[in-house]
Amino acid sequence: MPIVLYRIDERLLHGQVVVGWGRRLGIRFYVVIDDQIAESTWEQELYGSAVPEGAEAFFLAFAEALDRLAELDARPDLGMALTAGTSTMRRLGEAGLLAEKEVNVGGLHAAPGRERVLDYVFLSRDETEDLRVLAELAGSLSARDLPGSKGVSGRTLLRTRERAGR
Amino acid sequence: MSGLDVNTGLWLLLAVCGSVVGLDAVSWPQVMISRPIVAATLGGALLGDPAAGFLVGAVLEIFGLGHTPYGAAVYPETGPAGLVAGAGLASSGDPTVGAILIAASSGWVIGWIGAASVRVQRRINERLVFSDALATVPRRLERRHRLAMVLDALRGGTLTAAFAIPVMVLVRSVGSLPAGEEVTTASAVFMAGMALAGGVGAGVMRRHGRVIAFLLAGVAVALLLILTTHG
Amino acid sequence: MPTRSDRIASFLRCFAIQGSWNYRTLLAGGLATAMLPLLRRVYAGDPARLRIALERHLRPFNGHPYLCPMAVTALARLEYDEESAETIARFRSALRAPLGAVGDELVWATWRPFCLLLAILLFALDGRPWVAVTFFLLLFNVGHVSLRAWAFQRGWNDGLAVGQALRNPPWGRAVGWLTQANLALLGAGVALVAWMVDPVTVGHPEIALALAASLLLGYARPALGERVAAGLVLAAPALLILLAA
Repeated sequence: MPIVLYRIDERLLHGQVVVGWGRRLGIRFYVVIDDQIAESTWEQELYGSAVPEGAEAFFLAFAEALDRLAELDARPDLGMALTAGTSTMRRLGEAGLLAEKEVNVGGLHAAPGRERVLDYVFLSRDETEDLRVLAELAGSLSARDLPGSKGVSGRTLLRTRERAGR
Repeated sequence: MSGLDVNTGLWLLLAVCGSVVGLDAVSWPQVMISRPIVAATLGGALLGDPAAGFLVGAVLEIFGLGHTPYGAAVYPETGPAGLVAGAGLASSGDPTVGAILIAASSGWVIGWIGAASVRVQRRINERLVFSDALATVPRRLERRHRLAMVLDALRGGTLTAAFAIPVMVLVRSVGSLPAGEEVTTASAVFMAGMALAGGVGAGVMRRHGRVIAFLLAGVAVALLLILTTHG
Repeated sequence: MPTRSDRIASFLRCFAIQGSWNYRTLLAGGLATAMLPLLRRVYAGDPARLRIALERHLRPFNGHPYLCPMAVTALARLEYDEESAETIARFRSALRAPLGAVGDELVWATWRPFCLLLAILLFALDGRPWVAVTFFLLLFNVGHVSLRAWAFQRGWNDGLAVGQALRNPPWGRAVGWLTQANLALLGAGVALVAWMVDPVTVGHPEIALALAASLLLGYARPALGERVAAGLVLAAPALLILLAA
């Protein structure tokens, strides 16, 4: 199972991901699933420049991802897939692609309509609902910013969000 | 062993240095005077032994190699911790192994307490600068941004002031223990921790491919150096 | 067009870019504060548009502090070029990725350990603490300030196209070989520091071997190594006090 981690992080490829996780896990390719970025060359250039030497980045629109994830999953080296938001990840789950996968909530920051759950996770109601669905569909769901830090289970995450109210 | 010859002036000077190195790590100007080798040498120098300060700083550096400040990750805060550890060790006079060990462990613990204080500081900052309303009065944004830095400096100073004397007392009382089996056992345990932490640092630096050869080559060169100079 | 003194003011403020770092907007407060000297010129005499721009830049932003001057000037450049709000927003979020990743990799994971370890080695050989400290501060900060200046310059010059500069940076492949140097320096550093702290204990061959094994264990299993190291650093002083009492 070469795509070893599916991560929800609105910053997509950044230091925590490529240095923190990438080095620790030995990631050799990153798959960014995002409709807008898949169409914009300067954005791909910027996100692509975050990828360290020796690793590759793929930028796929959601529809493309449905076609190509199986093929990328068959690669011999390790990869990591990223979405900027919960809804794209939920759609991957609903397409049956995450049944045995580890889904990691890595960074959703403060914005109007979102409530704090962890220092690095703020959730709106819709996003909470997406995660509830993902908790059912994914192999596992947890929040963790860096591999060395303590993870928070999906269940705890959702419970904490409930207590935060609307 | 005489009592501590730390007067109020020296204590205040330590606190001022603590606020400067505390401010440096994250807020301003990040020239890395907050690193343990710098802060601990400074702390050691204030108590008359910069070399002892550097040594304990170097130990803390090895422990810190695996911790890198990525994004919002939690890592030990090294400025005030290094300063206190360096001052603590230098205050004991001739640094014995026991004293180094206690000073370094204290620095390690204070580093994590410092990390907790940084988290509190960041929540306060949130109240200061999280508001779109600030855009209406740019000068207010500038004032609040400055205020956050003043608070950060106070944080580092307070941390240093709080721990400087207790660590000196601790280092002095334990450092005076006679060397013997106990010291060797504790030292071996401590060194194993340091070597592990160094290995973690190497693991974090590793990227693709095998670089373990470089690590081992480094160890070998150091051994050679030690053997040739101290044979 | 911002004047030379606007740019100097902005560059100096970049040194405090993390001054109000917080979990909600990360370093946006510092970013906006550093942009202000430029924005005040771009929107001179138009406080309403200055306000709208400032609101945009108070939204969450993060990146390596030494590379963030690139965000300060590139974003100001986009404002100056009257790019749409949508383009600025998307550029802003895309820029966070490389500024964080490239900077963390280059500075925190490579340049800083390199300078620190070199200084420790120098101390082990030379023995004068202030020589080693001065060496560290000079070497590190030549790199640090040059990086900030480069980022500040390129951001204004390249605007939307800074991705190219980040893909082909002036330091080229230095990260790769510095990493190898770092591992060698680290191996030597651990051994030398252990020797300087306690030559008697480290002089026992079986203890020396155990230390080498610990080093390799930490390398192979960083997560485990970190926890065990934390335990040992607390156990050692406790043991010392208990055994001696």
